[in-house]
Amino acid sequence: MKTFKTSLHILIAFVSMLGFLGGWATLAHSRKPIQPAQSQAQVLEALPPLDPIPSFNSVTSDNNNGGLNSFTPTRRNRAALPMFMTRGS
Amino acid sequence: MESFHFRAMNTDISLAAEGKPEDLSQGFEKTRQFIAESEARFTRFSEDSELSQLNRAAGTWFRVSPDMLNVIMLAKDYVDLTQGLFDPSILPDLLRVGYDRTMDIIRAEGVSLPLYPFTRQRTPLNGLVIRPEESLIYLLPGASLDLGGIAKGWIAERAAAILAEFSPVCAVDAGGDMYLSGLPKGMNGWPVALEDPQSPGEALTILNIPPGAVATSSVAKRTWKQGEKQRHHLIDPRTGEPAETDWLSVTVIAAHTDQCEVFAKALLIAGALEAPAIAENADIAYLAVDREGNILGTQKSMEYINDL
Repeated sequence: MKTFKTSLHILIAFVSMLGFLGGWATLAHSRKPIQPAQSQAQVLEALPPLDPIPSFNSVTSDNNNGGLNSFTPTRRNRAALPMFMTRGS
Repeated sequence: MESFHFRAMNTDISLAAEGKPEDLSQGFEKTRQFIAESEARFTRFSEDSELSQLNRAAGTWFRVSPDMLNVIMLAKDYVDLTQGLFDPSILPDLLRVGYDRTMDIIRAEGVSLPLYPFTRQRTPLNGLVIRPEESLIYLLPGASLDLGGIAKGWIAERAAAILAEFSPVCAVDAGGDMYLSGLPKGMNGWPVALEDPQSPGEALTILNIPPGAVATSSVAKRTWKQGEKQRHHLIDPRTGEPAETDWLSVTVIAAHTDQCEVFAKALLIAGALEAPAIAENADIAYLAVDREGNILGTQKSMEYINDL
């Protein structure tokens, strides 16, 4: 009985080792995954450039323009002013 | 271009028209008369005005003139269009923060009411009810209206219609609220300076305005001190206090002067965060001036700037 148990342990160990080596050999000789036609550099080039992430201040400060266009005027010569002026009364 | 200047509605009025002086003098006089009569009707600074009588009649039905009915109905529509940022029933708040006399008197003598804490409890337009077919208006007891800005715009446009009977190319400027009729000879628009809100009398830029209207609202001009607090005349209906806005002035270019006046006020109260959506919703072109003196606006609005 003892001899039978020892033989069974050896058999299981041998079959496990054989299975492991067989799997390794199968995977090592299997076909590689298909490579993309474009190189990685080409793929990166085709992607649109991303806008820089806005700073925290620019989205929370009082100077946020809410998507409006901004124009900084130069002061006008008083003599060149037209007849009408719109102003808060 | 002939011009005629006088003072009314606590501001400077300018009339201008193309034509011979002898043909225009009657037009100028007729227009001036209309403005004087309208001021007497809409002012809150005279006990005898129709507006003061209406305000005193709060709690009862009051029959108003066709002009008063017209302006009050317009005001009611604008309350909705501006999402409540324009509201003529803020008069009790305006009085509480010290604007109880004309600005000329306040500048000379200071405010008469001290600063005191308050709790705000009101609804938009404060329960105003209109029966247009009977020309009847009902104000809740304690409610009162200030039609100052909207009436000034409405008067300017009506005055321009009177002047246009004498010259199709004419303009009425009521303290910066303008109606421009026709086009001056050889021009594709009316050149209008945009005042620097931080330097009264100085221009930030020149606008090119097509026939129609333009008006500006500012928090930098009608200001006073109540106790230690700096006040201005632009009340935010949501708080009952002078608006805390990140802009100094807003100029609106549109078809009607009352529309420009109302939206300039509403967008200035709204400020940079809320104004773009309100203006887009109402299809309003506007230019805002921020505290650094920059002019802000949509791409379409920027086209009115002649300097670009």
